[in-house]
Order: sequence, then structure tokens, then C-alpha cells
Amino acid sequence: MPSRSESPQAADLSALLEGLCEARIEFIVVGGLAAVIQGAPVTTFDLDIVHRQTDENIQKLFKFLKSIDSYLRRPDDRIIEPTAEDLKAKGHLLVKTKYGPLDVLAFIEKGHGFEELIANSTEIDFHSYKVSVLNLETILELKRDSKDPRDRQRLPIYEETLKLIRDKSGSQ
Amino acid sequence: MHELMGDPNQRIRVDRELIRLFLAMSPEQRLATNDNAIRAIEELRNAFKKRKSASGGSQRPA
Repeated sequence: MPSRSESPQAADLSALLEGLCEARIEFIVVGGLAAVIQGAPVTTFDLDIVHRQTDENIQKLFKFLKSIDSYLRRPDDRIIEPTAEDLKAKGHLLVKTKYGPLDVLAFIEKGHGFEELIANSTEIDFHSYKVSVLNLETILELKRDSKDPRDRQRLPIYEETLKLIRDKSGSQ
Repeated sequence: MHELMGDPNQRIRVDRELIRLFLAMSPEQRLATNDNAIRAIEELRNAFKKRKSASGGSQRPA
């Protein structure tokens, strides 16, 4: 049984990402960390992923979540571990792990899941792995109509980051 | 001097120099910077909580 320390361990989202890669799970990094990876200077406290919903991938992800002491983030103190059924569902699974918060999403804005998003992803080198990250253009497109104040605050930063990336690649 | 972009009447302004600094890093370095920022924020929050509970919730005026 995983131990639940009263004082949470400091987040290590790099280790969380590396663990997902090591476990050979198919996923796309979305959300704030996807923007950070591509150069947006924002700070984000969790890792959001969209996973491929095949049986094999769900089993790998389930096993990985168990290995990192995952339990559902809930408003009460009840400790509930995620199940493979949760990962098959078409919803959002928000968990705490020993490396920090992880949001496992079946889909994001406009109902896009792994199959729709993979074409709009870019592969980045991370240690010895290739990680699929939702590209900044798509993040901007999906977040443009968001009412979330955090998104509204980050949009100008994302826009400027994309502009500078384009300027840089245009001048090379 | 940092170059701030955006409408000066808007509350959100963008520091282009900070973006350039971030773009010069590798993805691993950007992730490490984010992790370090989280740790620093957590430490400050914990220190603030500790101080608040030690002083019984009273705060010095700003």
C-alpha cells in the first residue's frame, strides 16, 4: 500500500515524464507543460497528458500509475486508487503521484482525443526518448475561446513565444 | 532593460527577453526550470504557513 505522507513531496514533473517514457506509454503532453517545453516562460504545477486508449496502452499506464503511488485528487481525504476502467472511460482522471499531480485526459477542448491530436503534435528529444507534445499553434487555437482566467493570462505569452519562434526560424 | 510587449492599458504584459531566454534553453532545461520554480514556490508557501501558524495568524502590516 502506498504511503501518503502528510507533507507532500516536491513535484518533479521531469521525473514523471521520464517515467511515462520508460514505461513505453503512448501519450501526448498537452496543457501548460507542453507550452513550457516549447519555450513559453510560464510555471505549471501539473503534467497533463492525453493517452492512447488501446487496451495495451491502458494496461501499461495503469501499471505505471500503481508504481508511482497514484491516487485520485478529491476534495475529501479519501484515498482512492485509479482503476484500469477509469483509464478506458472518456473522461478526465486527475491523480496525485509521488512525482506531483498528473492529469490523464481522454480528450481535451473540442473533444479532441489522442488520434486527432497526434497530427498536431511535435516530437521533442527528452533524455533518450522522443516525446509527443501538442504544438503551440494548436494550444493557442484551442485556448483562444477559453474563459479560464489562467488561460486568458497565458495566451499573450504563448502568442509572443510563437511569434519569436517563427521570427527565429525565418531568419535562419 | 526588458522589452515589454502588449497594450500598456492591458493588465497582461509580455516580457520578450524572458521568452528569448527560455527559447535558448533545451526542452530538458525548460522542464528543470519549471521544476525548480515549483519547489521555490512550495518552499515559500510552507515558510509563510509556518510563520503564520507560529504568530497565531497575525501579520505585520505591509
